[in-house]
Amino acid sequence: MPDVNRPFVVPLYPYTPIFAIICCIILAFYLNVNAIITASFFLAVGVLVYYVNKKYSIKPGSGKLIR
Amino acid sequence: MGKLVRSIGFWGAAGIGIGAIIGTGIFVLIGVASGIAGPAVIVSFIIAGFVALLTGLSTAELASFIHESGGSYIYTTNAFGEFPGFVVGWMKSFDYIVGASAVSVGFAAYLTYFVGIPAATSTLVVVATIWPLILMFLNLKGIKEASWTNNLLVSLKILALLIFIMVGAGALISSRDYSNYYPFFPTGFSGVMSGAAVIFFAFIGFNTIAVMAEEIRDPGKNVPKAILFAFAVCLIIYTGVSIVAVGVVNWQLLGTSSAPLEFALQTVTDNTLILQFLAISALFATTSVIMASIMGGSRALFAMARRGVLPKGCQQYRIGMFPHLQYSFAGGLSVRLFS
Repeated sequence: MPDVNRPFVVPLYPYTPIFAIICCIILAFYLNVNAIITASFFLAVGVLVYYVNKKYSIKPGSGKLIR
Repeated sequence: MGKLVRSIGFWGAAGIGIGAIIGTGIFVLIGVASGIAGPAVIVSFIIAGFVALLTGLSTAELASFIHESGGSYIYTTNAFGEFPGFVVGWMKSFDYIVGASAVSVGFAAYLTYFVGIPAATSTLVVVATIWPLILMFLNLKGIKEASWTNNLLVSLKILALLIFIMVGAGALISSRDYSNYYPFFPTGFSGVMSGAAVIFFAFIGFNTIAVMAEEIRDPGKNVPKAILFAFAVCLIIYTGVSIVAVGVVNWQLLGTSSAPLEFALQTVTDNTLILQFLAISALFATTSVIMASIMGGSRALFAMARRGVLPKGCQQYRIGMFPHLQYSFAGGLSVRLFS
């Protein structure tokens, strides 16, 4: 929905979000290793839940664009 | 089910945001971060706040025209499809659940400290399980009551931090002793960055406002406004608290304290009323973080179930509040076992 009316717009787009992504990646490198391991574990469990739910749910996922 | 009611105004939304942002972050992490960065933790706060603000601007824009409950889960799904959306929503839910559990244990530790009973594992687990349960029932009563309670807690903890800044700054200026600020960068640039990485988590709660967008009145206007307002309030308070904290106490001592703000304030005042109020405010702060996590986490799971990427049964958003229970229990247990 790129053409939609946006009451609030990020200043200096697209530089602000690009800069934000770079900053977050840099900060992540300064994180504790345990935090990264724990997050990866939860991510793996999540992927499992996603596929199990897809397989056994009666109606297929409707996570498509609504508007 | 499938429809939520718009009952939160601008102040309610800003309160939820500030409630989610100012929590254990400022009451506990400031000690950890000071131990890493030294007095330059002030710079860490500004860097972390700046990076968080950049992501907050994007959230504010997306939230101004996508009002469906679920926040970043919905944005990612709409932009990149079902699976990337699920990954974001799933990690966000766990963020809320694990965060609420950790904070519940923090609450239990503060409570035992305040009441003066030994912090035994069993006591911590019981408190860390019962307190989120009580808050969950408050949430079940309705978002209006929960939002009102939240606003009260937020006001109290902002007041406590303002008192901290004023009393600390007053003592600092009248003593004219600024030696704690030297050397300013004892651990160099990497220390400042590691401090910023820790503090970053003290800022990211503002997403909760976006997650709640479907229950906020006039969301196109109120959601971005509330996000930026909550952000400004927290950045000012955090910077003020960090300037005072590393000014009145040596950063190495601050880094070893489990209750750094109480510790810092004890060095400048022996007024028990002020000290007690700060200790109690840590209880308010942790409570409103648990509240915000229960609100945000249950909406995130609700949004995913409504779109069909989690079992439809989870669409009762109230069910989303229940995981907090088990995880508080597990969290309480594991924190004691592994520390």
